[in-house]
Amino acid sequence: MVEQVMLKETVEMIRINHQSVFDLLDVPFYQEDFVFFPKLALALGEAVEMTTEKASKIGVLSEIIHLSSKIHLMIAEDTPTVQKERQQMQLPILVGDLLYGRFINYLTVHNLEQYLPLYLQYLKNLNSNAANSLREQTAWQKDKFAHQVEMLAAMTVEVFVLASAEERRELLSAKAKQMVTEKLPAWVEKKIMSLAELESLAETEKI
Amino acid sequence: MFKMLGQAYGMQKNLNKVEEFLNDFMTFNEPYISKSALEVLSSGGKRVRPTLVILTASAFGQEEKAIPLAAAMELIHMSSLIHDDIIDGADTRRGMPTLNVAHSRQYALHTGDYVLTKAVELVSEQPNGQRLLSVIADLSIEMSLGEIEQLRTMYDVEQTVEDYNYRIDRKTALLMATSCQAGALVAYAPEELADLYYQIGHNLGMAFQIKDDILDFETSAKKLGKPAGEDLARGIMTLPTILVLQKDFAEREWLINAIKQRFPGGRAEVNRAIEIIKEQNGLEAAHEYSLQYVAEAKKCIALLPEHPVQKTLLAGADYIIERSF
Repeated sequence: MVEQVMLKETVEMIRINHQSVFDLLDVPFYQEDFVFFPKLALALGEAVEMTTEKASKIGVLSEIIHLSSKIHLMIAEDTPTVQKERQQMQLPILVGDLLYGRFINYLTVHNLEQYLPLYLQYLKNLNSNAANSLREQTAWQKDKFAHQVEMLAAMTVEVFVLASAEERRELLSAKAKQMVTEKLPAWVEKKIMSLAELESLAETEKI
Repeated sequence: MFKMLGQAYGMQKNLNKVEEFLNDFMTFNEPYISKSALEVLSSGGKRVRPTLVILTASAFGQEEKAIPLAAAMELIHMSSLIHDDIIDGADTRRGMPTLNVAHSRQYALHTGDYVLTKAVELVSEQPNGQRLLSVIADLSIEMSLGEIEQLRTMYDVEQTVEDYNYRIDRKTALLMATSCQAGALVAYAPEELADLYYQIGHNLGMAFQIKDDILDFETSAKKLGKPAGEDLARGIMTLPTILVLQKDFAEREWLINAIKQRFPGGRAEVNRAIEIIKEQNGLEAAHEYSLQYVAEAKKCIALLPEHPVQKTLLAGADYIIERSF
């Protein structure tokens, strides 16, 4: 059920003025382009005992930025016809930019700004690796799509590490607050304790 | 334009600081991208967006605080220009080879993406960063939609003034509107005041782009840094062309066919088309539209709380109309 919700959100994200990226672009998409990051997010969420609602939001976030990144990696250097130029270079650039804007929008709408630095780090790493390998003619380019997925998967893990730490902090804070609320009234009675009473307390099994 | 006004109205010190900030900021630990980005930065540019940020922030006494945000808006503009140059197949910008020509399309794309990422990072670190991020997201989405629409409507002789407004709103006006709004937001100005600055920037932006499109017809390649009539040659229907095509005149069919067939006669045909558009008063008609937007901007400026920034904005509005480059 939650996977379907995530996929439907993705379908909306790739809709552009009554068309979709499938209509506009002449670039290959695979099933894994749309299911891997949602599945990864749900698996990571389960591993850290996170609510599926929160995990799915992070999953959609990673999915949007994956599509934006991949589309940009796919732009063609040589486009011998006007149509190829439009569908393999011009529109992929603009669609990638649009998805990037939708990524930031999704982040702000769902109050996920705390994860932005991690995603920005992924984007900086991706683009600098890509640019450097083009200048230095290294092998990175050959496997760029695999590298992109690996990098984003690794960063998604970092997002979950941060998110689960926050959830735990919230749980623990709630517990601490509950205890303070329960114990404070008795505490402020200011019943002074003697050493004998303390030693007696120390002998009991449970305080 | 606004740089000149900055000098006149005491903003030059802060604009210099924006420039210093940009140069320092772009010297990041990525030698290739950093060098390329600094080359693009140093090639010039009117710095309209940062000037608007500083200007509006100055209305709240927050001009120093707005310097990083002003730099971020220029970086957002810069990254869009790098991508535009790839899309347009531009060989030069401001007389310098574009990154896509000097290196490759993909290299230019990744450089533009890196610069944009750094800009977003910078925005997120500013006062009221969360609100600013939301504004930047909307801007990015709408700018992309406008560019996609521009691609879709190239050589389309059926376009209306509304179609044109949709495109230039997203191409130019939105970033200027957002720059004005951002200067107010970073100062935690009330939303209604930030909105008013947005409207001012929007109207100035629309007038600015219309003027740009007029100048494309009448200014020499040397002065503009690009060939005259370049937009028309590339099939971008700007307001002078659209307004002329709405009229009935002897050479209308010739003009429509030349555009639809993408000027098979080359530069000579483009030049004849430019002549026709001028003869049919397309430039004057477009000028009237820009005057309307400037008048609207001035109405909004008059609603601002009394402050010297009003004078600067009014002078800027006049300069948009009077400029020759």
